[in-house]
Amino acid sequence: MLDEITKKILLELPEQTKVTEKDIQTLRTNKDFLLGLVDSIVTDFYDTLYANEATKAVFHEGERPAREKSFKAWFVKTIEGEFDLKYWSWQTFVGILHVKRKVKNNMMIAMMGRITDILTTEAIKELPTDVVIELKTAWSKLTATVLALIGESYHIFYMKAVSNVTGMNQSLLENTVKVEIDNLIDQNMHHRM
Amino acid sequence: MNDLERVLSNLIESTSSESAILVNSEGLTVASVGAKNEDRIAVMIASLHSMGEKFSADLEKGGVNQFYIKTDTGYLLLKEVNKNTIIGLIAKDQAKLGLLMMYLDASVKEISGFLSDDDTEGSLDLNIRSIS
Repeated sequence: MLDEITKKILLELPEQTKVTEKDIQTLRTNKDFLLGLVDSIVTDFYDTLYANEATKAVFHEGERPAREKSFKAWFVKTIEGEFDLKYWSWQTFVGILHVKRKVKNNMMIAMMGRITDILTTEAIKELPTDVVIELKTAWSKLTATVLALIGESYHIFYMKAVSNVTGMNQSLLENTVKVEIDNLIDQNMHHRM
Repeated sequence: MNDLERVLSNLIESTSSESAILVNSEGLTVASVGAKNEDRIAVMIASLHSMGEKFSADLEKGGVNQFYIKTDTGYLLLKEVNKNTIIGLIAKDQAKLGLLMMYLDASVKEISGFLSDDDTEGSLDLNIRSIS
């Protein structure tokens, strides 16, 4: 099931945004540079999360070492550049875990931005400009795909949980939203700029 | 007024009800008489029916034949016409529940005669369920 959902999410992404062979090659070529950043990025990642109340609330007491370990494993695996269905489905699975752990998409997207920021800053310091540009492109496309999978998976499985418990099929859920969404747009129309 | 609307209209008249609506399992209106906010009522009826069916199935109580909600001012009665169609009747407080159910049963029988095989297959249940 997860593989099918993963394929469907990936199919809906515009061709121009997808990770190419060249992007994979770029990541592999710069593997040592990226691996050198792993520990500092992991530390910064959790320092940042624990420094903010909303993101800190996601964690249970004493679980930081375990979370750092799993995040590091994700980072290293990602840098290795083996982007097969198994890897992408893993990202989709993360979306389900995020529902369970109440890791919201806004938190996830913001933190991916922070990782990218650190990575880019370090790349500018250490790598030639043309490599930085290539690496930035490869990393942006990769993380955009990861975010797409996790974000869409979060939505799909949130709705699937509702569907499974209530018995409401997808069309009914969509029609239920449809009858209300215009009201919500009207109520919030004054925010349009 | 088509055949389905005529049946609903007769049902309302016989029971002095406020409105009657026929919806499919996607929450779309098949026919409606007297219902305000028809689209909203249609999805609510389909949702209630789905939840009732799921609840009953989880409790191993079989299918849902009908159910009703008693409010301060009346009743909402739901009854399955077939796998893909549900009838909802919004009745006033003065109505006799037994009579409402009797007329509802008669209407369901009549409506069944007007629905095609396509309406009874329940073939719209794709995606979320089919990938589970």
